[in-house]
Amino acid sequence: MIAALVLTLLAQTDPTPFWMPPPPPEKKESKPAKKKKKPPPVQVKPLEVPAPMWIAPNGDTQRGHSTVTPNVDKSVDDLPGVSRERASEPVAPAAVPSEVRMPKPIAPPPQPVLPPPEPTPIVVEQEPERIADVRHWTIDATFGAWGSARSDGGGRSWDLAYGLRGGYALENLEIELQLARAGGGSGSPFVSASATRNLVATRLFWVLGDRLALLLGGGGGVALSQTHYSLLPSTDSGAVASGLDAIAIKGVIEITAAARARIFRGLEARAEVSTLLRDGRLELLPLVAVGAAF
Amino acid sequence: MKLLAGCALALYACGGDLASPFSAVAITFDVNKQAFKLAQVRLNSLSSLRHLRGSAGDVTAGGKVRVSSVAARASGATVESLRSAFIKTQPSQVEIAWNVLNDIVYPEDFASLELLSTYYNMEKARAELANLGLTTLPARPIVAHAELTNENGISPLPDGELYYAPMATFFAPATTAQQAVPPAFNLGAVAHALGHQAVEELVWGGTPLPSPETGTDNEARHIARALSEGVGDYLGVAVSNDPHWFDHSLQVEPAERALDQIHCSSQDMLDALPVDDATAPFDPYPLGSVIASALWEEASATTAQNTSRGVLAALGDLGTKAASGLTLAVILDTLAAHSPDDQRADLCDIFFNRFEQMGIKAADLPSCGKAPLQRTECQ
Repeated sequence: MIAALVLTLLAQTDPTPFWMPPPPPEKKESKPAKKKKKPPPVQVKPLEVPAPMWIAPNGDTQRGHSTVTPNVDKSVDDLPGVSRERASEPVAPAAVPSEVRMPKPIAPPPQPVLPPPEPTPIVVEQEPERIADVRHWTIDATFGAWGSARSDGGGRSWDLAYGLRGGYALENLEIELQLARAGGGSGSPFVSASATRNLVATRLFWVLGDRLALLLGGGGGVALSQTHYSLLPSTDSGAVASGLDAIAIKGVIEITAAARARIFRGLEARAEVSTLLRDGRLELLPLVAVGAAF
Repeated sequence: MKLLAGCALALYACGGDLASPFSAVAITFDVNKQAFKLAQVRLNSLSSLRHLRGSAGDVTAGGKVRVSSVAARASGATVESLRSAFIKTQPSQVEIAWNVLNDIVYPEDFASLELLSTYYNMEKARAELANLGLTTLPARPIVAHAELTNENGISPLPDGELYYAPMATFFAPATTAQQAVPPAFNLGAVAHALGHQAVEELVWGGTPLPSPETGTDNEARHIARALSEGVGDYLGVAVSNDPHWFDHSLQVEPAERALDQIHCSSQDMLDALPVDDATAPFDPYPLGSVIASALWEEASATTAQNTSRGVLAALGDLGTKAASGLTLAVILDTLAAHSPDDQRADLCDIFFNRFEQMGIKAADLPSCGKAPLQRTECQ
C-alpha cells in the first residue's frame, strides 16, 4: 500500500509518466543558421531491389516488378500451401536456378542539370585589382646634378640639373623620353663664361620588378650646349662688360641604372644615375624623380 | 637605317680632336682701342686641340710643386733633376671642350677659354720672336693652375710671373677674383716671360740659374737680374706693341715700369749693386726699366723690328761673354754693337744719357765709336 502511494507521488513529481515516452529535448535558441549554399544535389543511384519471386501454381517461378505491389487476389490466399507471409519474403538468390530469368534494372532517372559553380569571392575581388595595377604611362619631374670633368683636370664640376621624363611601359620594357637642363658659370669679375646644357634623349629600359623595380638601360639623344661669355674690355671702373653667345648641338650616348618605387597607387619615386658620353667626355647625371604612373 | 643613325650618333658623341690651322675665339688685347676683347684668332701650331699640344708647348694643369732655392743653387743641379725633385704631384692632361660654329672653335666653358687663350698668347709671342730672328728658342712645358710653393710656403713667383727658370717651365696661375687680367691672357706678360726664357737659354746656357747666382759677386748677380728684367720688359712691349701692358696685370706700381716714359739711372742703383741681398734685397726692376726704356725709345723712334732683331742677336753674343763676366758696360756695348747701323749712334746717345749717373762713359762703349751727343733728359 505504502509502495503504491510512493509510486503515485513519484508519478506526480515527474511530469512525464514512466509509461509515456520522454518529452523531446528542448530546442535550444540558436542563431539562425547561415544560409549556406546548397551543395549541388547528389545523384543517388536507386537501390536495385531484386524483384520478389512468385511461385506459380504449376510450380514455375516468376518475377514481378519490385516496385509494384504483388498482385495478389484474395482468392490466392485460399490456395493450398500458399500463404501471404511466405509470398512476401524474398527468396535467397542462391536458391534461384540458373535458368531463372532476372528482371532488367530500371534505368536511372536523368540527372538534373546543375547551374555552373559560381566563382569564389576571393577570385572575384582580386581580378579587377590586378588589372588596375598595370600602368603604362609615367611622367616625372627630375632634379639632380650634372657632373662634367673640368677642362683643367681639376676634378669634376657639378651643376644643378632639372627636367622631365615620360615613359611608356611594355611588359618588361619601358621606353622613355628624357629632358634635362643644367648650367653653371665660372671665371672672374674681369672675364667669365656660363655654360648651359639641354639634353633631349630617348632611352629603353629593362624593368626588373613591379612596385619596387630596377631599371637598366640606355639610349641616345642630343645636347644643346649654350655658352655665354662676358668680358670687361678694360680694368677701368666704368667699363661695361661685353658678351658673346655660342650655341651648338652635340650627340649624347647614355647608360642608366635606375630604381623605382610605386609608393601609393600611381605615385612613384625614382633615383637614377646616368653616364653620358658627350663630345668624347664622360659625364655623370645623377637624378631623383617624383611623378605618377597611369 | 636605325643602325646607321646609331653609328652616326656614337661617332658624334665620341667627339674628336682638331689640329691646326683653325680659327677660334680667344681673349686678345686691342692696342688701338686699349681694350681686351673676345676675338676670332688663328691657331697655327696645335697638333691636338683636345689636349693643347703643339709646337709652342704642351699645356698641362694642376699638380703640386714645392721648390727649394737651396736645391736650385746646388752644384750639379740641372733642370731635369730639379723637375724630378720639385714636382710632388704630376699635372694632368687637359681636356678642352668646345663647340664649332661656322668653322670657328668656341670654348665651351671658362677653363677651356682660359687655357686656349693661354696657348694662343704663347703661340703668338713665340711667332713674333721667331719673326724677329729667334727661331731656336725651345718650347717649354706650360703648367696651368699648379699649386706652386717654396720652402716658406709662398709662391716663388709672387708678382704673377709666368716663367720659373730653375725648372724651365711656364706656370700660369688660376684666375682669381683679385686679379685684373690673368697674365696668361696678356700678350705682353707672356712675351716678357719668353724674354726671361731667352736670356736663360741664350745667355746662361739653359742652366737652372744664371752662373752669377751661384757665385759670391753680388754686383754680377744683380746686373744679371736687371738684364733679364730689362730684356723681358722690352720684348713684352715690342711683341704686344703696348708700352702699358703692365697696367692690365700688375697690381704693384705698374706705371713705374711703363716704357713710354724716360727712365734714368741713379746713384742709388749704382750703390745697390754690391749690397748683399741679406742686407737689402736687390730690386732688379728699376735698372731693368732703364735698359728697356732706352731700347724702346730707340725702337719707337725708328723701326721697332730692327731694334728688336738687334736685341735678340745680342743675347747670343752676351752668352759668349758671360764666362768672363757681364758688367753693365759690357751689356750696353753688346746691345749697341748688334743694333742696326742706322740706329746705333742714336742708341748710343740714349745709353750715355740714361746711364750717366752710373758712370757709363764713351770709353765704356767702344762699339759706339764716337763721342756722344749731349742729351739732357737725365742730366
